[in-house]
Amino acid sequence: MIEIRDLELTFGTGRHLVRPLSDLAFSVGKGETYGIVGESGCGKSSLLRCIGGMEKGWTGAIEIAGQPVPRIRRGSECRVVQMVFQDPYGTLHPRHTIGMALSEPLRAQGMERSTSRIADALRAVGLNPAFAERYPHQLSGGQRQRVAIARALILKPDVVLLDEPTSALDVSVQAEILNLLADLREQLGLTYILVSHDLAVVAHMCGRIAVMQSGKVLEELSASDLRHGRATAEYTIELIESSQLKTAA
Amino acid sequence: MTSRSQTLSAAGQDSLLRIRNLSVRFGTSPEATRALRNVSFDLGREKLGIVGESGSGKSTLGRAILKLLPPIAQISADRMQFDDMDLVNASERNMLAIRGSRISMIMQDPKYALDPTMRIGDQVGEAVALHLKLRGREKRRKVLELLESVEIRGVERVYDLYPHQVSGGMGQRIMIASTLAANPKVIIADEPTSALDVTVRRKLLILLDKLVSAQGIGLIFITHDLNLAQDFCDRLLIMYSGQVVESLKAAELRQARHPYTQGLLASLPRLDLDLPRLPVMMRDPAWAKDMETAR
Amino acid sequence: MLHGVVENAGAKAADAESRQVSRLLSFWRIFRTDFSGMLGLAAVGILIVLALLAPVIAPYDPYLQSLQSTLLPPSARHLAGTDELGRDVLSRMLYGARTTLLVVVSVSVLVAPIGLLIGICAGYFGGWIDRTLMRVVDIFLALPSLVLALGFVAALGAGTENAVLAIALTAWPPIARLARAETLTIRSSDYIAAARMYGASSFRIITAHVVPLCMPSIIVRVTLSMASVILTAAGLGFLGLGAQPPSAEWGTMISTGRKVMIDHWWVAAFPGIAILVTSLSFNLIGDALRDALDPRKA
Repeated sequence: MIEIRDLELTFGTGRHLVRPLSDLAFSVGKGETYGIVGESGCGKSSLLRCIGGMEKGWTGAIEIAGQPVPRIRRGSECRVVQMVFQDPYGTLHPRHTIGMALSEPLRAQGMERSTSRIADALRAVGLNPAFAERYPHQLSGGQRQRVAIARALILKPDVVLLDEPTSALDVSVQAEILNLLADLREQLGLTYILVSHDLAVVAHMCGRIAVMQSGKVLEELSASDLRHGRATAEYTIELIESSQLKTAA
Repeated sequence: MTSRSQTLSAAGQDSLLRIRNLSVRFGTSPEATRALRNVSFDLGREKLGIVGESGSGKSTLGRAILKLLPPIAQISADRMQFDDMDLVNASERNMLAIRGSRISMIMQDPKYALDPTMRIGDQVGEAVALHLKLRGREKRRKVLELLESVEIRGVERVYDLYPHQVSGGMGQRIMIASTLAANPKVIIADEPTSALDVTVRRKLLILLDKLVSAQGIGLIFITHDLNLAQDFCDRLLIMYSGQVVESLKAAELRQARHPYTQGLLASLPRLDLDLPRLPVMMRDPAWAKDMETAR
Repeated sequence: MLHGVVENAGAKAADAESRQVSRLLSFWRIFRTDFSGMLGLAAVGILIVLALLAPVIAPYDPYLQSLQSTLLPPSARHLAGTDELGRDVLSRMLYGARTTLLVVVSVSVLVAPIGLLIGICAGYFGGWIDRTLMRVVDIFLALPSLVLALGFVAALGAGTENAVLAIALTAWPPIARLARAETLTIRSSDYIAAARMYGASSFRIITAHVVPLCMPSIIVRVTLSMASVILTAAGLGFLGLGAQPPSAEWGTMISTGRKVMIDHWWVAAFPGIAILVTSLSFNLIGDALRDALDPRKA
């Protein structure tokens, strides 16, 4: 479903050249959830921005559903990849109702905008259709994140990018959102790329996990490798140990 | 409620902070929000974790002890004793003497706690000058010593840096260093590591643990992260809608009896266990009702 | 109704309208509690009524000269006295309010969209568009606004319409600056990133997402700048470059009254007080609006 080869991202020139991503290559099958872990500044957000079409300065190849994606996407080229962001408070426009937040993507793609379609989208993420009349500040963090998921899914994308979708939520709400994402993946045959700093979340959701450090994929692990600490790179081992805590030792 | 009264006094005679029936409400009307309801605990020379979700009142508790709440907040308590001082009736003047020097606070994000226009050394130096009355070369020596004590390498170089030039983890170390200048007896840490990467977090926690046990400080560690609290703290208070619903030894967290604690534990994804689905907690309205008050 | 809702049925539109109404109501509830803001609003309200009713309530024709009764002090017959040509000062002030309000309204109507458009384009597109537009803004800001307005009027010729144009030319840059700053923070937010991901056009993002969020601060800024517009208009009038002599305008009135100010204070003092009260009122309204439109309170 997703095929990435020799992806490289650079900003600036000469002495001011920075390269947030280099030599990236991986592929993700349909219906799979591919995890990306790493610490702040490792390039995981830049990678999502490249796949999502928000960066233009990359080189290499990104293929989605067998089609190479252009650097600048227009119109219907935007439909196939959608994204869910980290911050539930910044993800929705504060002066748009939930109904408008959900109808805007349909308008942009020239799709039919009906009340029933928006109601269906809300029901699919476990919200009452009456929420369409509300504003974001009347919703809890978990409810906003559900709306953000509904907004991403309303265009029926093939790939959904999840950028720390639950790290700002309480654990009990996190469980609900993770279950919802897993259910939607089954029902709609979605492919996810999940970025998180929480190894337990990644191990729970993903089949394969890439560990990133300074713009490169350090190694790729299976979920059970991660659970049993079967890593080869020193950094990965440190990451797993840190996540398991044991500070008192 | 026997386990409750036991753990309340787990610290024994040697308690630094003794709090009984602390309540906080915002506003005076009957329907005013009750942010804290009859919270009671003792703090000894230990690491006490206060765990709860957003809105549980955990941060309010930390601030209420230092009386750092906005004027609209009404604080009431049967007893709030620090050493031999009564914090309930302490004047603002007395609180000023206590805050920062006897009881210190470490905030979540060092980015906002450090003054961006001052060099690191001068900022820590301000605390040193205020609490230890040191000047000139002696002050500088003490600052370097403090920075060394929080395991910062190249202290001479760090002394002259500005806050934007240091990483988050380093910033938090600097905050701890200036906190230590006053030799506090109690440190209240409100989510001190949630803005940090896991590897940095671990190093910082190890440091904090070392300092607290070496100097016999009582640490109140406020966090939303159950795993972290269990791993790092000696004792835990689990908070839900302004009340302490359960109080237990950190090592016994897996044997928690309150359904809320059990629910929280179950809903955490685990690295050591492969679950097909995460159990979702059903909240019982009875949890939010007033519990019997501790004596 | 800048941001339309799902255009589906009439019921939807009615819903949207009632939402707008309830938002207005909640805004009004906050604004109402601000004493000085209400005071300013009342003063401006009275001024508007007086200006509209000027032909009805003015005791005399503002242009009627009466050389027998020049420079009469305030009395029962002439409440604010008469000027050096025997015209009733009160009547001239009432008609002058029309000129002043006309200038204020026309300048605001001209300036707000221009400033908004330029600022948002600069902030949203960035790059060379931003650099070019902001250098133009810098050039305008580098010159004192009265001097700039003077230059324009001198080039275009004196008169109320040209004064409006000149003031508008000097008043848009601060608004463009503000709109740009607001746009920069809005642009980096996740909901704009999401909108770009689902393929919304730049035009749609600007009109439906950026503009509604910029509006409150622009409204406040425009209201606050009304005071300086009044002062600049009066200044141009005073220098003989605004409204031309026979027509009643506060600045022009002060200018003519200046020659006789020491012995006949009322000729210049009353229009002066009118300018002071009006510009102060607009400032008070602006301050109250800033508090009431604060999204943290909404």
